[in-house]
Amino acid sequence: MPDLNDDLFSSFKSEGTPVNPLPASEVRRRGDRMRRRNNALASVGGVAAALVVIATPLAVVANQSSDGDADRPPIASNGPTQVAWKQEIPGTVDVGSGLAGAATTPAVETSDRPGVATVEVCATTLFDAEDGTVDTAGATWAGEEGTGNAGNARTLVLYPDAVAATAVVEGLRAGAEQCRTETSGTDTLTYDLTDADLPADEAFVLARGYVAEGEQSAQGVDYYVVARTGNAVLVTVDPYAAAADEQVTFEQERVAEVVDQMQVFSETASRAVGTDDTTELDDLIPAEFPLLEGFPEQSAASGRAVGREGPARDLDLAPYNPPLVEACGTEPTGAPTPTDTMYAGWRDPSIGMLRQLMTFDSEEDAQTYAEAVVQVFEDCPEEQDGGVTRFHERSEESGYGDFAASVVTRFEVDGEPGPGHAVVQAVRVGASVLLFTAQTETAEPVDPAVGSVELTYSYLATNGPVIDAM
Amino acid sequence: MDEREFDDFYTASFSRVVGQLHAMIGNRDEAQECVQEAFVRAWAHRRKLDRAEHPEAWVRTTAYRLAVSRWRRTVRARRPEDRALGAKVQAAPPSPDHVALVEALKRLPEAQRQALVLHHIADMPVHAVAREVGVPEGTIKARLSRGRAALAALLSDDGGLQEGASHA
Repeated sequence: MPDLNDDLFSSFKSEGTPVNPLPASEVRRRGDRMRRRNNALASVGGVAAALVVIATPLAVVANQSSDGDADRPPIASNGPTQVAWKQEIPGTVDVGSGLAGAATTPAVETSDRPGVATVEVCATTLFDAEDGTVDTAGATWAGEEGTGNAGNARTLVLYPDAVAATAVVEGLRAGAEQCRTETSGTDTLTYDLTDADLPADEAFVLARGYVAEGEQSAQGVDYYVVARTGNAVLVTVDPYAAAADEQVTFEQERVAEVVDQMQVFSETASRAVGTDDTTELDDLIPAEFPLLEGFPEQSAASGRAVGREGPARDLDLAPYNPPLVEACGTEPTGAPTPTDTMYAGWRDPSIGMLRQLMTFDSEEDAQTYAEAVVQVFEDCPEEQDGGVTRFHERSEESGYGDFAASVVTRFEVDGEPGPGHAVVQAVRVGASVLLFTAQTETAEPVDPAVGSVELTYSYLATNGPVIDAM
Repeated sequence: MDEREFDDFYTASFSRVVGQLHAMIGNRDEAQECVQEAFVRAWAHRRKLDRAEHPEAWVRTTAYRLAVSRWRRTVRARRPEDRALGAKVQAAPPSPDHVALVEALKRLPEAQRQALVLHHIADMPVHAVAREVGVPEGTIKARLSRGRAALAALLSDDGGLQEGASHA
């Protein structure tokens, strides 16, 4: 039998793991984009609220770990009541309030990290502070020296809305009710759940007792107090405390003040998008969306040059040689209908570039649309037109939105690379899709070896500001 | 944390955290992808990172939760292999002992594997492991004890992993 000491694991340190990390600058760029997206979702009122709450649940990659369903990106539900749930914990909520009880030392420490990271019952994680949450605050108290008190910990998390928060709390309750005992080493763990009398939408105390082998009652109990108000959930733990009925009451008294402060997260306190809002609900893409960002300011050519066009919902597409997406005589079929569309283009005698920004009812619809676009070319990688052969080369790119795929069409004339190219790019961010097309008949022939890759990233760079703003 | 501090932190920690996560989940490419995404989130939430006592632990915890996420499994299942990850790194093949250890770790319960990796590979004391995982110290001690016993059995000659172990 091998010797289980640290030498066994030394191979992980000495052999290392071959890695291929992104440049740090790219990591920061993506992080900035994530931050902007989160901030846009947190804004309330007007068009921003309409985008978030009313029609299309935008995917938000907040501070998540991904979820057991660990890292499920929080998706705002579209309930009939349009409530602007808070997405950040305000400073008026003191998550450490009451954590130390009557003790004055040591001090309670608060931070942006959860004091209670997870709650597990019968080997199942029923609560994970970084699973689907949009903001977190934590507090810990080390316990008075010499008293045997192991200290307490607390977590306050916000979910995108009350539906998500309720699902978590109800899942925790149901899991605890279904698992009454479990074995842990030589101990038997017992679970007991009691409804709490706290000023919250729902609250309970979960007691996990440690019963040693041969004993009849628990030697220590972990007391968890769980409380939800609106989209906020509080989880406090007093680990291995005395097993006594009075302790359940005492634990509730300790959290009462912070639960009271949680009223700021209630549905009543959260601002509602009222009927007097003048936002045009059908116009989901704001008029000021920077759909032209990244296009040249002016046409380089003179004479009949056009340059920038749009943004507009009714842009004349004829100059951009429709159909925009077509291969082997086939256009995309079965694609969902967008809920809103806006166009912006740039063209001159040598090249036409068109952006079509669309919103959909769901991320699934948006993904279906994006995949339908590229599927046309997957089904037709090569086609003949007289002496011209078109090669449609498809690729997928990471780091651009939630899904990004490109098709570069290069030409060969009688077996030799011919001038011009065409590009189709579909980038999905949440429930929105940017469809970009470019066509030129005068550009240098595409190098079959590397040309498609170069063009793909060149156009993605051009579209980058728009993708970042989606 | 300014850009230079973050870049230094990223450069110094990336490979190490990928190795630790690889040990936890048994898939090197997935480990790298999750760690990559965790660093993106770290920069997006650098205010929290500034206040974290152990920024590397913050990144590792985030990466681990990404790795076990059902969401990621769903997204990955729908998506063909991402060709934009870049060329595969050419490296010397791992030793047979390393391969056997990775395989054995993959067969342990997730909680035991996580505790073993954080304690023995990330060199974290028990109380720090308990804090990162969010359970009492006694629970971590129990997981380490059971995990070591299970690992010993898997790596023994009768465990069958040392001969003909598949490539991790």
